[in-house]
Amino acid sequence: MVMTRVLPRPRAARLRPPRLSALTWTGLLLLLLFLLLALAGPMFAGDATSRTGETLAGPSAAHPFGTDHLQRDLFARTAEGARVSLLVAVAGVGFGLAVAVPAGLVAGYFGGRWPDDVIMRILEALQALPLFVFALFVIGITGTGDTELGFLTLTSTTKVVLLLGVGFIPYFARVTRSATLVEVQEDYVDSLRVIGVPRRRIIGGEILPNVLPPVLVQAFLWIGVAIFAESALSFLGLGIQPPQPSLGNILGDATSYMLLGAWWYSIIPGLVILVATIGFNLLGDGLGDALDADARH
Amino acid sequence: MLRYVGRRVAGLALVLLIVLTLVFFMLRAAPGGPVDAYLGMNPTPEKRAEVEHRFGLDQPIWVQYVKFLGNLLSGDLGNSLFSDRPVSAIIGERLPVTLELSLAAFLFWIVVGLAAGALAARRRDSFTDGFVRVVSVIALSIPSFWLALVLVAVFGLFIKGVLPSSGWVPFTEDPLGNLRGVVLPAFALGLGSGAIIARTLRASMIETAQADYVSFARAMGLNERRILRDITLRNAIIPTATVIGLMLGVFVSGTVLVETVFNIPGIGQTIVGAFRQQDYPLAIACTLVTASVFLMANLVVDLLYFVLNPRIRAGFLNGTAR
Repeated sequence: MVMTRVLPRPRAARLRPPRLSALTWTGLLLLLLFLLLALAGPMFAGDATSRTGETLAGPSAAHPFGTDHLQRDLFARTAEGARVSLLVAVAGVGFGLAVAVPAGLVAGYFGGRWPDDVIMRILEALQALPLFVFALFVIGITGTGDTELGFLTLTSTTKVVLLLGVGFIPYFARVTRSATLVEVQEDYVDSLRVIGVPRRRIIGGEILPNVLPPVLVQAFLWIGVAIFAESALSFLGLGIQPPQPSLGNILGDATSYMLLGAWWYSIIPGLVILVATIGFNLLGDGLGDALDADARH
Repeated sequence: MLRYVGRRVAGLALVLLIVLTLVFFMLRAAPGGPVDAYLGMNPTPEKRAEVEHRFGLDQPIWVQYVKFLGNLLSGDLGNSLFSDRPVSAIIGERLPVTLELSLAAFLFWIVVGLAAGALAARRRDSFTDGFVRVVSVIALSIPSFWLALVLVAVFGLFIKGVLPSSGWVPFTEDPLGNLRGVVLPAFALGLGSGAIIARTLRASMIETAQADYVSFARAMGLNERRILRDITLRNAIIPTATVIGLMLGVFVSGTVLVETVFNIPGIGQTIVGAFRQQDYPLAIACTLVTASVFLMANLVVDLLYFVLNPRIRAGFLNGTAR
């Protein structure tokens, strides 16, 4: 029989690092490895676009990840590619959040009334086509190069960021909306209304800070999905354009050389994607378990 | 129930019409266009006018749109701008390939995913459970196109001749060769979804096992086998059905990638080609096919809830559910 806890935990217990499972620690470690490669790698790996070795040489001391068909060092390219993929993923998630959080807040605040209905219908329409087909479609018709949009010029990289963001909006908005629906039921919201605080201040100043943490956790985990989606698009030649490396377009280039025996060309950059996605997924599981355990207490 | 189905089908048709209209106008608003792609560099104005006239692109856009909708209703999707063959014939050739591939992946991974999930949940916290958890996290993290590349390398370089690693043989020509050819792409296509199925089923079975009605059934003296089969599994399958429905959306993008790596002439490869060449009729038809498959799959999953859960069925019949 477990004693029900009435008093708050002692201070020392609260300061102790959270107890995480071995799997969660593994996830954290993999994620740190990926971040190390993406953030520190490009600084000391040398130039990702210059020819520094032989054509398609296997891994060696000078080129730990081997070289590609244009004699470029694959460690430098993979590190730079990881950095680009990470940046694109973070920017895509950020863009998605910037649109989805206000939309979700408004929908949740007016839960069940017309602003909610309108926003939900738009989100459903966004989900009618799978993200990937939508992206294929947009990039298919605007081309893989720069697109002029009035005074704005969208590079292929910007387009990938926007597409990822648009694809994520429905998910982020739903999370925000459901958190807001719960929050609006709290007494303090009614009290604020009664004393005449303007609606904008209630939503932006009071509800938002309470709703944001679960949304941010979700968004953080979706960075893994974004890395995955970016690499798939670039793999098909529709995402980040060469000579700018990304994990996906390195793999795309590698396809033609796989059967010539250049296994390192596709295996190693692929493993880097894998390290990142496994890291995010394990960490997500761990966070989910921790939240569940918290909810039970 | 019938009214609900009718309303859903009408909604589906409306979404399809919106998607098609968007595709139609965005394709025409895009810079370049098929005439440029068709004629290559620096065409003479006469040649351009001739080609535009042949494709019907010299008419006002509204006329083109109305014609397009009229043709669509009569089942005529037009001819491909590049091969000049009817689009319906191209899709008729390509779609069965993608459907066979998806179906194979779907069936295999549903069985494996459900079995693994149920086994892990039943022996919770055992070695089997840990194994399923670790393997499924890794499996769902592997990008399908990278797995496909690795399979091509392994079966094309190191163990040659066991399974074909590229290309496609029609079933009518060589049934055995066709089935052998589907193994690797189907494996790569469905692995991630299989893992998600296993994880979802495991989690919802564990949650269901703690429900009061399960304790009640146990108190009533039902044996564990029946509790598992008739009560836990039956209730836990509902969230899993949702995931299986979402799987079809994953397949739509997955086939594009996997077909590219294995060089399989399915809808996925066709979509990429059609959008790249701005082959209007083919691109629109491919979008139509993809969107309908995806939307219908969602509808089927929603209807499956009726079959799976008596409570939802009752809710719809007495009007408490919307």
